Amino acid sequence: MPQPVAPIMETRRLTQKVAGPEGELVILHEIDLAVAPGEALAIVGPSGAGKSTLLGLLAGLDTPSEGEIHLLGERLDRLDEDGRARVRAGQVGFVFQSFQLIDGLTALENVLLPLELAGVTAAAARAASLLEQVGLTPRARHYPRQLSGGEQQRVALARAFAGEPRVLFADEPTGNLDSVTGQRVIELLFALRERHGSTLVLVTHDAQLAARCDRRVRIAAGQLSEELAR
Amino acid sequence: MSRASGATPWSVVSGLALRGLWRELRGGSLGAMLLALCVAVAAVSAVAFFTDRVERGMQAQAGEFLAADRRLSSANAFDAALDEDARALGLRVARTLGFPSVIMAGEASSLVQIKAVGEGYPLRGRLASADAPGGAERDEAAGPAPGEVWGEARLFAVLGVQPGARLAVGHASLRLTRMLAAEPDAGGEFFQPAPTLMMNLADVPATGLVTPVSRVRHQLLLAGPDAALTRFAERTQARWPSGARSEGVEDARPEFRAALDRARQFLGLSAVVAVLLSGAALVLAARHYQSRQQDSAALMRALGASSSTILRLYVLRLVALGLAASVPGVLFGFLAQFGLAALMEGLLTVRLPAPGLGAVGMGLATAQVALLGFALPALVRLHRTPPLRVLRRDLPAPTPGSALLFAAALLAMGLLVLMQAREPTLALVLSLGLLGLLGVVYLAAWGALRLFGRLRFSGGARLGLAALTRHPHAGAAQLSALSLGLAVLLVLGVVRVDLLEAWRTQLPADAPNYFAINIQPDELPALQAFFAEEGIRPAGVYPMLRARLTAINERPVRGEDYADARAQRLALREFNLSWAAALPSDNRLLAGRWWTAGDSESGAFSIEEGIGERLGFGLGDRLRFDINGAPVEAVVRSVRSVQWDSMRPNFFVVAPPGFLDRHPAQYITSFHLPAGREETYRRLLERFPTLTLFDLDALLAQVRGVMDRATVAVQYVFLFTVLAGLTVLHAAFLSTRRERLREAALLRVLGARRRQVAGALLVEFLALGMLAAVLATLAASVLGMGLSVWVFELPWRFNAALPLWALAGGVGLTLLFVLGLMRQVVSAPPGRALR
Ligand SMILES: Nc1ncnc2c1ncn2[C@@H]1O[C@H](COP(=O)(O)OP(=O)(O)O)[C@@H](O)[C@H]1O
Ligand SMILES: [Mg+2]
Repeated sequence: MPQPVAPIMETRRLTQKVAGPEGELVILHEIDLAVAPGEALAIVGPSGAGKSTLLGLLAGLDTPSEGEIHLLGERLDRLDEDGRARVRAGQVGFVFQSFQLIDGLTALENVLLPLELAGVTAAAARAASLLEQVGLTPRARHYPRQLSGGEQQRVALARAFAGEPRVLFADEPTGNLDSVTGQRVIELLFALRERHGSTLVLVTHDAQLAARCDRRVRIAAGQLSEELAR
Repeated sequence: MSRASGATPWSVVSGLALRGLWRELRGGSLGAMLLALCVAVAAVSAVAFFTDRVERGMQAQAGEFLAADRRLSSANAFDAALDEDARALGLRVARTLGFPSVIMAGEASSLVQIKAVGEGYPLRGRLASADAPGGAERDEAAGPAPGEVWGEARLFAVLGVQPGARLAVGHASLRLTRMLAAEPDAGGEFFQPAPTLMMNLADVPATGLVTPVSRVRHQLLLAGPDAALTRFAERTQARWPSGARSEGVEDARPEFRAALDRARQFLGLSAVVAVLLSGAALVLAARHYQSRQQDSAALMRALGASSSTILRLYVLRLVALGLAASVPGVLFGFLAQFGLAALMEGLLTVRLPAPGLGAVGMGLATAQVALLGFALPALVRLHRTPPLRVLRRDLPAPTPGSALLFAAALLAMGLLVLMQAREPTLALVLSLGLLGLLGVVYLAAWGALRLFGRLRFSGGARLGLAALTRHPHAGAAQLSALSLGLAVLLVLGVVRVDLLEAWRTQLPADAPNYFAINIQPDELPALQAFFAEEGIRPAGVYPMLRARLTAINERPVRGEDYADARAQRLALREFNLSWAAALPSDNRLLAGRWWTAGDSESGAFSIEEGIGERLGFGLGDRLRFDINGAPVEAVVRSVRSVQWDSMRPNFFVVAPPGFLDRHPAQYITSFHLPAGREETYRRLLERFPTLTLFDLDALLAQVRGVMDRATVAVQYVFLFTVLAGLTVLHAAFLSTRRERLREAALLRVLGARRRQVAGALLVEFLALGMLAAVLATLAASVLGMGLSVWVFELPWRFNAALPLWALAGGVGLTLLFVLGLMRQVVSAPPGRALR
């Protein structure tokens, strides 16, 4: 199937090796992957397969051993740490398995953080509106420790979409939540994505969740394979 | 919604830096830093507020020591037109005239120092009189009216007169109307030979005592703005008599100023010890903070923050923390300053003005320097946290090299010491000394913990002791901070008393306790007969004459040639010469030879070693003295050591008999009068009314009183050291708190009861307190021994009370600390802590 437009992110012969106790370990081997703007991609695979490693590379959080990574029109593998941060600033959002909220900041301030870092003006109103979209307006002044796991992840969702990111990376967003709460968070995630039109890269080992994405790829033994829709 | 391009603006970074600061302060490592900083700032501010008050008080009162802002003095009269010139410049003017004379009251006579004061006197300071000796004092705006004189209290006794008596002063007859109770420019000499008689300048011509050849001292007193004083000097200097001397307030009482400088340095450096201990707490807390901030730093980097944004954020946060700590710190220091002032009140001759804001800067600067030197280096590489940490929690931020940590701490320490010492060389020496001391204490603490770790215990004790020895560096930091604080208090509280006691008991029981001076040569036989009658054995009777050192090897001696204030003072003042045939029994000849036959003719001097070192002369140098206007010159033939505390009369410079005989001298002696012989004392005064007697026991008691108060003040400042030591305990505890909570929870899950968990904690801190007591006792003993043997040359003996005090202090402090923590650790629900 030919791509109608240029991909928003793309890898070519992307290889990641690490030094292990028994010599070199190849986690990812010559992976070619392209994601179209607005697409929702699920990365699936068993634990330890290298899903998070790939996500980190795509987001420019790490540097590859070999190969190219293009994100939002930039060659990430040719940029330094601050260069990659500049690409992310205001254009990329994250949702993590472990929420990753800053303890010292209120829910509202956590949502505000990416906006402020990107130098966005009139950020407060926008952050408040995002909190409203995840249904946490009454909890705006609460600190993460005063919130339940599900609530914390909803704050994280609000934070992820606050900057109207062009790309959203999510690494097992329901991994630390019970199924009911997880379900609620997923509904919200997809609703927000719909509204903001962000490209989504979602790592999960939950088949049901993966099924809601436009496309699924599986990692096994360092190789990437396309899964067809059922 | 719009996006700014480029670096994150400062307003955003500072917002991020400040937001959450307050919340992070509570209970966390930032809180520990805040606490440590508060103690440091309080210690430094208390001293700074206090010394600032003393300095301003001195400045305000410096004029009083001169009775003017500027004083011109000369042996020759000042041109009468000078007064008009001064007034034209807006200055106030007064004249005084000083000379010695013998006055008569009926049959009685006395040598007095006459001080004739003109209109306007005194321009500065307090003049007071009383109706009669012992009467109530009253402040006076001017000196005696024409025809009247005021005399010092002892003059009434010497002459045996009452107020109202007529005195013959030269050819004039003047009425002694009042007692002179206080004069601002009294001279400040310890031994003032003749009582002062103050009269009106207008009466001087009638006395006929002042002729152009008389030895008198003319003074022109001036008061007014600095600029006018300078203008006056520029315009009129050419018309001043030759040899006229000009003294300003800055010249007043250099030894007092030097003492103050020394006291300021000493108190300031005492405070620095507290600051350095707080620094140790900062280092520990900052490391902990760094480990807790890695997640935030990684997240911000993942969200696109540049490394410079993160660096700026942490620098700003620390600066803000420093300011936040400075407010309560300065306030606490401000309050503590009142205590210091109350303790020092009796010791100071200056009236203290209200505390000013001048000291605030010192507190603020201390906080920032301490933070940048001790805390920032630990955080400085947070901006290099790999952003991948958001996905892989085990990736740490790079830790700063220990070389950087050490260099920054060293630099901060040097700067903090310099801020108090204000002299680079002194600061360098002290920094190195302090560094050595801290290093030794730290190593000792580390070694003690290692040794302790080898011991085998069982049960709850083992758990507690394992906790103590598991983190060798944090443990050693805790132990050394606590030991140091205790050791300082032991030295001040126990060792000092021991030293004083040792000094007192090694003085022979019959050491002289009275000095008699002002003995006239013709009284000498009668006095010696009196001593023989009463069974008193004086410790040698020596002649004493006042002389001014004018030249060393033909080079004139000037005060300004000496850097040291004490030497300056010695060089300028008149000191006492004596002569003796034999080397005094408590003196030792260090160099040269004692008198030989020709010395009486050609002249010779024997000098005390210390004075030679201070003023820069020695064996073979030719000294010239001025005795009452007559020059006396001779070569130094010997150098002696003098045992000043033998309580016998001793002299810096001694000549052979016969060399100085033609100059008028008075005599001095000292003797022992046992308690209970007040009768003898009274008879002595009755028979020899012009004798001046000094009761050494009373003087010693006074000196001891001064010392006691001064030490209490120093101890007060060192209390901050103990507080700082506690902040180190706190910071060290914090860095192990999580681990402890987990462990306590695990123990409880495994079935341990609360009491057992609490017991382990108690054992750990009791052991810490006891180890600190041992180290502190050791340190205080070594210091006490060193001081006894090498500095004071006194016998040394171990004081059994020392370890007891140390134990009480060490265990008390740690107990206080651990009781506060006990609940936290013991009552945490096991489930929460294990999650
Ligand atoms: N820097 C590294 N050093 C060593 N091993 C690594 C490193 N990064 C990833 N790994 C290993 O690579 C494998 C893939 O990890 P990850 O991407 O986290 O897997 P997944 O997210 O699919 O569970 C794991 O076995 C992990 O231990
Ligand atoms: Mg993973």
